[in-house]
Amino acid sequence: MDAAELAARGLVGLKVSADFARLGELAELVARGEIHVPIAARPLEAAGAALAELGTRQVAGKLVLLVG
Amino acid sequence: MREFVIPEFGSPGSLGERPLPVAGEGQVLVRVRAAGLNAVDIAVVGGLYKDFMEHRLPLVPGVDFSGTTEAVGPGVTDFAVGDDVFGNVGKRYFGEGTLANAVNPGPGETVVIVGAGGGVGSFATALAARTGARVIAVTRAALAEHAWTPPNWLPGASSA
Repeated sequence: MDAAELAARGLVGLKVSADFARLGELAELVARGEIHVPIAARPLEAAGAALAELGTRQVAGKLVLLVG
Repeated sequence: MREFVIPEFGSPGSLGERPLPVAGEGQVLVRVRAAGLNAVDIAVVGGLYKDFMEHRLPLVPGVDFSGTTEAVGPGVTDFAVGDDVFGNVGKRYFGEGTLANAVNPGPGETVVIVGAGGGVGSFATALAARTGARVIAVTRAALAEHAWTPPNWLPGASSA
C-alpha cells in the first residue's frame, strides 16, 4: 500500500529504513553527545515485568536487564 | 547462578538457580552484565515460535548479551578470561552466566548473519564487515532492498 492509498484512508505512511551508510555518522553523533540514545535498565528480578512492559509497545529506545 | 526461567509457554516466569555451566570445546563462559530485551523474546515465551524453533522447557529466554569472559574452553585462543565481550546466539541470556561459541572473525573468514535486516542484525553486519571478514547477510528480500546499502566506510562491501 503506497502513500496515496494510505492518504485516501486518512492515514499517513512513514517508511523508516536502516541505512548503513549513515551508521558511522550516527555513532560519531552519539559519541559526541549530540544525540541521546534512550536506554532503560531493569534488574534481573524484574525480567517478567520488563517483558510485559516491552509488550505494551510504549518503550522508547532500548530496554535492557542488568544481570550482574 | 540466577536466571529467569519460563516453566511453560505463557507463564509469567520467575527467578531460578542452577550451577554455572562449563565451557566446552570452542566455547567461552560469559559472566553476563546486561541482556537486551527484544520483541522476539515476547514471541518465544508466549510459544509463538514453538513449532519451528528448537526449545526445551523450562526455557530461559534472551537473545543478545554483553559481559565478561569468565572461562575459556579447549581450543579457544582469541579470548582470555576478563575480556569484555558481546554476543547473540539466542538462548539463555536472562541469567548471570551463559555459554557462547567463541567467534572473532577476520580477513579470510566468512560470517553468516541471519536476520540482518533487524535492529541487532544490522549492527552485527556492520561490525562483522569492519573485521575484514566476508559477510553474508541474510534477510527478507523486502528488507534487503533498503537495509543494505554498501557504505563507503566499508571497503569492498557489495550487495547481491
